[in-house]
Order: sequence, then structure tokens, then C-alpha cells
Amino acid sequence: MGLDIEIKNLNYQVPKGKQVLFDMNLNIAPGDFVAVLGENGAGKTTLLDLILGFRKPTQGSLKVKNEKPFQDNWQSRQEIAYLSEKVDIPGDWTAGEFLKFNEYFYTHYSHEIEAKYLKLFRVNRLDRLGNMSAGEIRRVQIVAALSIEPKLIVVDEITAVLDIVGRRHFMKLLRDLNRETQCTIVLATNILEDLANNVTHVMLLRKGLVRTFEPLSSFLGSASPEMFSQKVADLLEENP
Amino acid sequence: MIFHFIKRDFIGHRLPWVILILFTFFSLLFFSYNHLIYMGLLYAYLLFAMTPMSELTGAKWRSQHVMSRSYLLALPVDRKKLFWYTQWRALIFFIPLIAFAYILPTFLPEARRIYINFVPRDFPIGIYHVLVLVIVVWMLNSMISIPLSFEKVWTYPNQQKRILAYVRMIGVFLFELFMIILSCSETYLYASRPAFPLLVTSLVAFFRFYFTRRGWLNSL
Repeated sequence: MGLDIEIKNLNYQVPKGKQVLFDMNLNIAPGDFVAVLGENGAGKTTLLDLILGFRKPTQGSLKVKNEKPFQDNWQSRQEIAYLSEKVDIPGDWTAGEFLKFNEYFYTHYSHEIEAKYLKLFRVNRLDRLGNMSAGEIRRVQIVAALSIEPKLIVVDEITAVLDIVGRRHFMKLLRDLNRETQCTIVLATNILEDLANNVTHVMLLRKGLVRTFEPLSSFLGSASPEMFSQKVADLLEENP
Repeated sequence: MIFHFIKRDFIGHRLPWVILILFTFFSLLFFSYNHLIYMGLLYAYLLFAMTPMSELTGAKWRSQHVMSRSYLLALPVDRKKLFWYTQWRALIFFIPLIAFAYILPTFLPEARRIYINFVPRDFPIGIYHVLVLVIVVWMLNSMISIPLSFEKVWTYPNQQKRILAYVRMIGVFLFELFMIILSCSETYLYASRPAFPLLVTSLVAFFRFYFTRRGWLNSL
């Protein structure tokens, strides 16, 4: 069963900088697969940073499994997989060295799952990360992050650098994990392709405000899944 | 867990360690008669200690050659402990410098006046050894905290705030350096009490450590 996220009156202002999130109120239930969408600078990454406890809310509260992430309940991170475009690994490491380094920190790391994903994402343990493309490095990270059997998967825009096949595999994998293990997934992305067939909820952020947070079926209404991208773009272009 | 990190650091820096050892060996073999080589070695060790600093703290922004800070902070490790691990890992790269500063006065008493020529001639040896360690703690934390402060200042919305922050940051560093030099100076504060340099430097190092820790834990 996945982890729940409870957000109440959440405001976040960058220290000595601008306010990024305004009065956010929502609950993400265990097993939800939420797509976080919005223009650049809408606050998607900041929201994920708050979920991971990288930042402290200026006002209000954000709880993951009834704990405030900023208070560093580090044992809880055993159950959280974090995939981000910001994450990089030293170029002189091989994929295998990184996987071994990463594995050390997790008690539930599964070599069986790792072997399965290495094959699925065509990752060679002996390849050096410095010689890999951005997409190939992301594949190594996906293998590392998902081999811990997570209950919450936080994904910050990594699908953009994956090729078409890699993206399809990744989205399908997330959907299968979500359905089979009921893990919660929060995926921030600008790539709308494949979302309508996989996610359960849609969150639309606009200038730090939650414009929409609802189940996919209610978001789509009578529209077909093919109209998903169009609907998102229309909502983002609408005047607030 | 600390050894897991240290092992990786050694694997990643095998070549610089080997080069440093060879450099030391050949320098002492061919140039030990010249006091200037000791100055050269001192700078080489200092440079070596500074090199891995950004790798140890993790990069805030994307960089393919450095571990990301967001990856480190997302690991299931107590973040306060993680900061201590960073300190110990950094300290390992200072070992050649510390060892050099410890050994040299024994074999070459006049050398102490070459590389820290403000230190009085009769500086008590026990205090000197502790003082070297305390200065290393101060240097190490300055090397971590100054780049962290720059990262923060870059996000300030207007130039006036940024310039003020730069001036404050550099001013604080220079003030700390001034206090350390002044406290060790033969003609000034040291003259009144031999333990004075240790006291002043420890205070400066403690404050630098405290603010570095706070800065790193809130750095994303």
C-alpha cells in the first residue's frame, strides 16, 4: 500500500525571494497516480521538493504518512523513490558502481527487480556514466530508484530526456507498479503523451495556485483520452 | 556508513593521491636542501584538500561529474549525520596537510617561520598541534560554506541585495582570517597569553562550522 500526502494551507516563499506556492489544500490518497502539470515556474518542482523535505513550508503543513518531511524522518525515505532531472552521478562511475553504491542505503533493495529493470531499460552495468547520453543516465537512475520496492515514487520531469521507447516503458512500468503494489506516484512533467492512459489524478498548477486537482475521469468529463493534451493546454491558457 | 562514502572517495581519487605521493617523494629526494620546496609542498597539499570539496557537498545544479545534493539528501540517511560524514570525508583530504604541518617543525624548526611566519618563535608545541587542527576545521568549513552562500545569493531577486550579501560574506571571511592572524601574532594578542590563539581560533571555527551546517541542511 502506498503513502498518503496531506497538504493544508501550504504556502512557500523562497527565502528573500518570491512566493512560489499559494494556499494549497489537497490530499493524495495511497495508490493515487498524480500527474502534476503546469507551465514552467508554476511550482511543480518546489512542490516535489517540499514532499521530499528539501524545503520547509513557509506557512501551513505538508505531511507524508502523517510525518512532516522537513523534520527529517529519514527512515521513511526507505520507502520513497526519487527520480529527478536534477540528479546527476559522477561521470567516472560505471552503472554497476552506482547501483552498488545506491543499494547500500536501502534495506528492501531487490536484486531480482534490479536484474529485471536492467534488461527492460537495456542498461549495461559496465558502461561508464560519463559516456552515456542524458537519457541513458536516467535509465540507470530509474533502475536504482525502483529496485527499492518504493511505496511513494516522486518523479520530477525525467521523461523529457527518455526516447520514445524508453518513455513508453517507463510510463507502463509506473502504471503497473501503481496497479500491482498500490504505490503512490507523484509525477511532474511537461510531456503529456501517454498520461491519460496511466494516471488516476490530474493536478494543474498555475502561478503557484492549484487550478485543478481531480480524478482523471472527472477531469476528462465527456472528452476522450485523446483530447487530454488539448484540455490541459486550454486550461493553462485560460485567464485565471 | 561513513566507510561506504570514504571507500568511494578513495576509488574516485586514486590518481590524485598517487600523484601527491609521487610529488612528495621526488620533491624531497631532489630538492630537500631548498626550503622553498616546503612552501611548494604546503600549497600542493592545500590545493589537494580543496579539490574534492564540491563533490563532497554535492552539486545543487546539474553537473555530470559531481553527485547531486538532491540525491544525497533524498537518501534514507539522517541529514545531520550526513553533514558529519561530509566533514570527516573532507578531513581525510586534509591529512597530508596536517601531517606536513605536524612533522615539519620537528625536523626543520626554522621551517615553521617560513610557512606561518607570524607565529612566535617560542610557540608552545602542544598548542601548535591543536591549533593546526582547529585552523583546518575553520578552512574546511569556509570552503564548504562560501560556495553554499554564493548559491543562495544567486537566487536573490535584485542586484542590491546580492551585492550587499557578497560584501557581507567576504567581509565575514576576512574578519575571521584577521582575528586568527591577530591572535597568533607575536606582537599583539598572543603576547598576553599563549592559549589566546587557540581560544580565538576555536571560537571562529565553531561559528563557521555552525553556520556551514545550517547552510548545508537548508541548501536546496
